[in-house]
Amino acid sequence: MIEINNLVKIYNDKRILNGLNLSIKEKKRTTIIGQSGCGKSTLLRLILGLEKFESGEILIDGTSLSGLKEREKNKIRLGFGMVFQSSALFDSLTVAENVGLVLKEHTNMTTGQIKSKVMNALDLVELGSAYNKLPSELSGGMKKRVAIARAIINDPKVIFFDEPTTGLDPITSTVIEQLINKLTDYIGATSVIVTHQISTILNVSQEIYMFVEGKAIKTEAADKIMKSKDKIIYNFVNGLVE
Amino acid sequence: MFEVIGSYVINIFNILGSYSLFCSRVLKRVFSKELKMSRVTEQMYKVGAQSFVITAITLTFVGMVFSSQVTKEFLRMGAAKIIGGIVGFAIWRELGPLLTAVVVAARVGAAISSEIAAMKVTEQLDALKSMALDPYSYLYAPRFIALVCMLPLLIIFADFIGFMAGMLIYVVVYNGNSVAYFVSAAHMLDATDILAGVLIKGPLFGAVIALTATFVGSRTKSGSQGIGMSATLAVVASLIILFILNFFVSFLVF
Ligand SMILES: Nc1ncnc2c1ncn2[C@@H]1O[C@H](COP(=O)(O)OP(=O)(O)OP(=O)(O)O)[C@@H](O)[C@H]1O
Ligand SMILES: [Mg+2]
Repeated sequence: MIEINNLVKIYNDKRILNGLNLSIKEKKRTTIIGQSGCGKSTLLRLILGLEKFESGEILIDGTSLSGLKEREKNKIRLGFGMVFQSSALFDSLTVAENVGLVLKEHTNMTTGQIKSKVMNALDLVELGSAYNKLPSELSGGMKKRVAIARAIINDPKVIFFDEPTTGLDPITSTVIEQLINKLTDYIGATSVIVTHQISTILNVSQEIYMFVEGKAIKTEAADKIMKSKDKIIYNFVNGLVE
Repeated sequence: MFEVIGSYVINIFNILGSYSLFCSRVLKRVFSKELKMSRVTEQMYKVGAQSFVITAITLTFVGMVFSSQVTKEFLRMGAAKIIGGIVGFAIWRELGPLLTAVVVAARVGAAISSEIAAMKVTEQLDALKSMALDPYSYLYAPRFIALVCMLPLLIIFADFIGFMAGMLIYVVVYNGNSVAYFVSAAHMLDATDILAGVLIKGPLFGAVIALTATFVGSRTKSGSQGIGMSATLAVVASLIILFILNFFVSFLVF
């Protein structure tokens, strides 16, 4: 589905991604872990074509991203949903307008049709009551959930979750984790989840990659990762300082 | 030493290069079908609401102070007949267009650039792009068109206010005759004096304010400090460009 070969991304002379290889399989949930600042969010932004990379290759369904025009990139983007780490809700729009924006701009749906889809998506994240609120009236965790509703509103084939459960209480976290699982199990979406939260790693992952020094290492499956044989992975998931 | 100057110069050319590229992209979007009229009217309304009152206050007092200085001196020289014309010249040619642009740059330009800057640092611009929405046609072009259309209207309004405020001082403080004031202005001013300020300076200044504010905002470096700095930079940069452009337009037209 998405193949990443030898990807190099440099910020201010620093090689954030240094020959990264990664393969995201269709209809699977791939989890990415790694220390803060190691380039996890950067990778998602690169796949969406929001930024340029130095060298290497990103293949989406076999098509290389590098050669594409903006219009072709936009076509790909419409098949993707992205939950930004900072939620990135539009301040000037209400929750409902935020969630329904893609439908309003890119489909011929009527206002009524959009409204019912938006209601549906907000119910999935248990935020039906926030329909008419502005983002500034929401807590961080609520914003995150609105961002999730916004990302899944147009039934994308691929969904990126950048720290979807960070800042949520354990119960809401579980609701979101179950939602992520449901999206792949029933709707067949491909998900990439960036997370630090152990519960999320354990509950959603089908494949796990850990970023170390600009490269991705494939780890054990979720049920074995806490006892990983790799010292770096073991220390990371158990929070041990060398 | 040379290295420092060299990199400074290269930097300036880099910025000018990106600025021209940015401007050409915005202009292209003005004629694209992606642009929605509702976004333009929404921005026009905003521009008007934000700057109507301060423009009126500014031009009232500028009109009054200018008229009172001119009247005092010209009455002493016995040149009462040309007072209305002199005030008219100053207001319609220079003070109206330029001060309106200054007010709008400070109010609307700063607001636009901090709005875009905030969107940039909170990843809202990226979110737009990730939804296949182009910030140029979604955000920048509507603001550009709104300012290009609204500034001439604001200038007409400002010119009128400034001119009338001038008359008020002339009549009330110096016992001048209001009809003489109008006759003098009508006699000395021709269409170019009025139209150039409205139809040349207006759209041009509006374009400068919009392009500078959106450009500066969209290049904000992260952090909440960055937002404030962008607003300041946008105002300072547009004022400098406005003053320079104003000189050349006036020099060439009048
Ligand atoms: N626009 C930018 N300009 C310069 N450096 C950047 C920029 N964006 C990110 N970086 C740098 O790239 C590195 C990776 O950033 P990124 O946001 O991808 O990290 P991350 O793995 O998502 O971390 P976290 O877990 O804290 O979210 C960081 O060191 C950051 O300082
Ligand atoms: Mg991140």
